[in-house]
Amino acid sequence: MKKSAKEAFGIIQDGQIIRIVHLRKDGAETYLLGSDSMLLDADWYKSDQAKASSADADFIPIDSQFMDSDELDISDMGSSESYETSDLPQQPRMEVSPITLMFARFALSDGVVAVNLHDQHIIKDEPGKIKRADMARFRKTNMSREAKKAAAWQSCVIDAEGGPQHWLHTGPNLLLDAIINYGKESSTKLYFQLADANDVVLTEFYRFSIGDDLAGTNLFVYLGNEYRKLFVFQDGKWTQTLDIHITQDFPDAQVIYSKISLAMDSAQIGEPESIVLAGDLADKNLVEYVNSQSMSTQTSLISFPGLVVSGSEEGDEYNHLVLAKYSLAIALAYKALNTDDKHFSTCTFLPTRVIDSQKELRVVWHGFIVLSLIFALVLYSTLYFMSLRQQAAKEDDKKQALTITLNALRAENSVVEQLSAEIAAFRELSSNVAGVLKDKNRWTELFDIINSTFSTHRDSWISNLKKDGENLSITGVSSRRDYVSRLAEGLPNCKITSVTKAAVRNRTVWAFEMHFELPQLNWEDILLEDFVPPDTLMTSTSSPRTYRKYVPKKQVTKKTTNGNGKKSYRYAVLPYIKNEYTPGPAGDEMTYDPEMQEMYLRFVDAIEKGNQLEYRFTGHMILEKYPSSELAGLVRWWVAYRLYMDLEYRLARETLKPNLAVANTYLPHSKLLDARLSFAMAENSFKQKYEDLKAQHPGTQAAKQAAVDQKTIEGEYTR
Amino acid sequence: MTNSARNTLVLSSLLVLSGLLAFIMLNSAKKKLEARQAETKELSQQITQLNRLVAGRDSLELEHARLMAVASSQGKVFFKEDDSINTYDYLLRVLNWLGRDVEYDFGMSDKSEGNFNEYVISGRAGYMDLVHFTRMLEYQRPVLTIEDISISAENALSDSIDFSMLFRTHFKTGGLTQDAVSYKEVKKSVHSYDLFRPRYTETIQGEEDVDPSLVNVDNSVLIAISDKRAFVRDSRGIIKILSEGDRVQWGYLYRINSRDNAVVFKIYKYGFEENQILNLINEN
Repeated sequence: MKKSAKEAFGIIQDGQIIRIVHLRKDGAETYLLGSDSMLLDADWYKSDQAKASSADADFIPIDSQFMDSDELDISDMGSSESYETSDLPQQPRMEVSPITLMFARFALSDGVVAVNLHDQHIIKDEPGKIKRADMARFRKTNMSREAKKAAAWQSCVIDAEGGPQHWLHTGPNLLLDAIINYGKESSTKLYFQLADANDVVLTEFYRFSIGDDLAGTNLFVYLGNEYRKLFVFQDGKWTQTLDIHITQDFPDAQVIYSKISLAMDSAQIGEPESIVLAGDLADKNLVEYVNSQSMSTQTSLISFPGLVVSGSEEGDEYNHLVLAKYSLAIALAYKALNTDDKHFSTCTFLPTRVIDSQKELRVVWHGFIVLSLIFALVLYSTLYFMSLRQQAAKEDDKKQALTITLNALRAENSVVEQLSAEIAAFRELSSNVAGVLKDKNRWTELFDIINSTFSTHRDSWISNLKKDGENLSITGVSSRRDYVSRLAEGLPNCKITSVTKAAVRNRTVWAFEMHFELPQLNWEDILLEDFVPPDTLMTSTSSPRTYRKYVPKKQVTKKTTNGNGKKSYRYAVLPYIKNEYTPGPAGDEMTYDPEMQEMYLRFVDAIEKGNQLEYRFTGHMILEKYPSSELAGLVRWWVAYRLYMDLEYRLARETLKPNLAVANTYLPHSKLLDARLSFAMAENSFKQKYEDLKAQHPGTQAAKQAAVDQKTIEGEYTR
Repeated sequence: MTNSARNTLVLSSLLVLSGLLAFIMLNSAKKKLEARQAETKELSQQITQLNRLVAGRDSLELEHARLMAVASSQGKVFFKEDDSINTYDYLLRVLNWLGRDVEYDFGMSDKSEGNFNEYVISGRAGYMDLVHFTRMLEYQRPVLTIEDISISAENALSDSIDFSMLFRTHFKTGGLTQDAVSYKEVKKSVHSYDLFRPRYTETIQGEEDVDPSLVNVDNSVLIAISDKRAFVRDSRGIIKILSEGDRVQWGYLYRINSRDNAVVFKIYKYGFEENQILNLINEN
């Protein structure tokens, strides 16, 4: 059901007459845009083979634009199939039925369509039986299984006389079928708003037109072509419906009134307050006649509140007379336009198939299956896609973390490679020393062995020791005979060459001669053990990657004296240089190079941490990137200074060497450090270096520190 | 065709389109993810390899620090160059560091080659002095190799020995000058022992060290024995009263034998213990 339709077509069939009205709602007003009617040869519900006659001349041209049938392609319509409904008359080929012509005059697709039902197909249950079970039982009782299966029924609960009542419509609605066929033939899209029982739509429209202020007994009489009924309203409430049995097709007013009076009498209805007449037989004469019969009863034709009949040249009275015949169709159209109005019920007897066919977006079970599949697919795809995205994000995070780790490892690896290279270089150097010393310098060891051996056999001595080829030969004397073999056991691979008896002042002694090998020595191990005692390596426990710094057990100090009473020094590393005397960045190189600035800050951080590998590495990076910058000199100085403080004198000197070769900003400081290195390395030249520095760079911070150093050396490092 | 059938067809088409679109999108996303995973895997492999490479960093750092320490300590260094003057001076420096004197004759061998010069020293010295001199030459910083040593005891009484030593002084470009070579504390110790000193001799040992005020048993006579005392008169006529345990030249009074009228001395004159007996002389 469309809400707030703007235009509506009310179409009714009453016996042999079909009427149509076209209403447009615009705010509070409703415009009658057109109406038409036609007379059938026979009532569709009474004659199967009845043929529709031509349209009645009772056509009221109100708005010509809706009556224009010029565009209707009659030939096309003629080629269409005949009406499916067997009740409808069969048209000869290429002929257009009058009902089609009538519908064609209206633009049915511009509004909604409301039709009525045939009264004989409505079955009413007892009032009050509106429970679901009662309604089902009623349907079971009154419907065949086939009709039920074909869903050829519609139920509504009507607020009728005696309370809520279950109305069941079964069987065909031939008017609706005819309109549907028209829509198919003319390829016109139609929208059916409602199909309603005459009783319902008339009583509702009556109350809508009269209002709620009805007091007393009021009658509404509809006198149609076949449908003729009297509705009794008591204080505005619909209380009874009485059939008016008029057998004549066109009875006069006297007959009509007498039949109405008969119905009232049989229903024991007293003098009504008012009588409203509508339908085909309602006209001015009838109104006047009824009024003349009763002075207390006000009789009138039905009125249409807010209805504007535009373009009509006749007066309102004429319109009322004409429109009274169309009252049922107008009532239907009104109901279709005012679905929200409280006077109209919402129930409709439209077949389910029609309602469904009007729902463009209707989806049934197979559609729901596909929808479910789509939903499942979209859900799965979305979840899977999100999962992939999430995994991709995780991979990105992981990749980022791995990249950082990789870069760190690369940096570490470069340090490791540098370490390996330095170690290899040193090994080559030490292997040269070890190569020269291989199988040499074993005499001290020999003397130690031979002294130890003979000292345990004190009455033994030797008189000669000499080298005999690769071996050694000794001759000696022992006071005890058994000592000779004990002595031989104490010497490496010793062989006793001869033992002879001798006498010293009549005391027997044993002269012997032995050959033995020089002891084996590994000079490489001796060198390492000599200078790197195992307990001198300080192992940090804070982190596995913490740099291990070599700290000798005691500083290499040398007490020097030349025997002439001159001073001797305790050569060592001097205390830290105060901050105000250390060099800093000069110039504005870093001002315009943020990357240089960042690298320098990292280097400073490394220097402060004192991690030798780190500061050497970061310093190396700067020197690689900015080899000819002023900063390079500063970096070299700091690296050399830290190495000096770490007792790496040779490395410090190697690092500092380029600074001493050029006259740059940091030359005085470099000379200062060079002098410090000389002192630490017990070089006598340190004094001269300090003096040169003070002489060549007087007033500089380095010269000031040189004076401090000299004072420190004289005070604390002199013995 | 009913609306529902039509709608179902539309929905079916939508389903197919959605499926196609989803397949394309998911396939694309999956390929991108796989590409990222492959990149991550490659990074992981690189990290694994690098981890393997840097795994030994700790030991490498220790080794490096140790070698650096060795390098900085200049455990063994080559002379930058060498000639007889250099070596001669160095030997004197060694003796200076040693604080002892070893007398030797110095000579240069004709067996010098490109990287070393060979020298011979021969002389006379105390045995342990020679040992310490040798120790210094072998264990000090400069690379000197002692090729041969011959030692012979000169006589039976003294620990002085005659020796000759053949050694080489090695040098190398990039080495140090003698001035740059500093003293190094030598940790190598040698057991001290007078190896060449004869313990038994035919001649009297340590005659010069004997206290002349003590009784010379060889020149003395026992003149009386009284109450565990022995009265001994030396060659000068001076009488000495000795008790058991009293020192005499090269020994001490071991026992007074009143019953036999004799005293026994323990004498170490030739490197071993001898009993020397003085009998009471009857001067009457």
